[in-house]
Amino acid sequence: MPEKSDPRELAALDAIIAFNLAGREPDDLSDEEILAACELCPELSEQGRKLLKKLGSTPFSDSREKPTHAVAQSEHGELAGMYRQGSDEELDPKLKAEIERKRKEIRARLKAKREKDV
Amino acid sequence: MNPQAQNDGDEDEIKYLLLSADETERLKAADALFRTYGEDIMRCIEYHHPGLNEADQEGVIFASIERFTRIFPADAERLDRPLKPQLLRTVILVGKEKYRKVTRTQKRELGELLESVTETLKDSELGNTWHQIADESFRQRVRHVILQTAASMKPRQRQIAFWFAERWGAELSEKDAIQEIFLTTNERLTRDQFKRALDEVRKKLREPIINLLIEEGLCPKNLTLEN
Repeated sequence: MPEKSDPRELAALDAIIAFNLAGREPDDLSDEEILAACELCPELSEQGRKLLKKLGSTPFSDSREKPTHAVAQSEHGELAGMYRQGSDEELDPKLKAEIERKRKEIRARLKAKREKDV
Repeated sequence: MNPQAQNDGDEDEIKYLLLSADETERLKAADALFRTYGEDIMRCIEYHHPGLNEADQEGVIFASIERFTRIFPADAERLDRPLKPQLLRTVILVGKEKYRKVTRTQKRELGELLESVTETLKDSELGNTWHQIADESFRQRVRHVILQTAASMKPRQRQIAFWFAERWGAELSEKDAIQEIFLTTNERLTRDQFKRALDEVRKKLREPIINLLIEEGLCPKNLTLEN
């Protein structure tokens, strides 16, 4: 075995690494691939755990009452967009029907589950 | 009740709230997503976007769940699929946007990266071997070992690993990387410190793949483990 690698072989090796670390957009990954990649994520750090604890269990309802998360709101402008009144009006009628069908289906499942649990 | 059934029940509850036209219900959905998947979201942010400070991490959590709450009911194809992978995909995307904003960097076109990778591979024995491997499971093993190695790195090293990967084939400027690390962590590395860190990261990433290639008898003769 040679003591030093050929720079072209090393470059090829690095290219394979680059492709695997950065060569695919999240949108192109299947749900299974996303889950598999996330399974590999290291355990939560102590700081991460503290941040989750600090946010409490209802951070969205809390932020609606007291807009303490000004950074997230102003930079992304999504709280306003997401919760705007009458947003359903903009939905395609077919999609609205599909949503209604799905809600009915879930409602029935939840009802059955609750009756079973009682 | 088995954990899967419990999980399905939670999913149904959250989906039901997500599909509501009522604003308060949707806020409840966002809170439920946070309670159920908060730890997964945070792990995902820490792995994929190392270097972000607490305020930016918090921003990613909020913006990701908000965006997901908005896009979920707008696409019929999403309704029957599990929530977790869809949500984590949104977290990765929003995290990338936040990271680019903090580091004032532009998104690199994926096609450009792939072109550089292809160009580099065709000039080498390893590249030829790689193209001839018919066994997809071997490529999957290589991918797994690369992701696993990145996961075992310290956050700074992982940040450098992603920087290196995302800019492969482009002009790799140490100055830009040092600035990127400074903008996220507020620590300014010297060129020597950065160079040493990059060398270590590359070595860590290369070693397990070379070992796999050796095990499979696919390692080119001019590629060897460095001391």
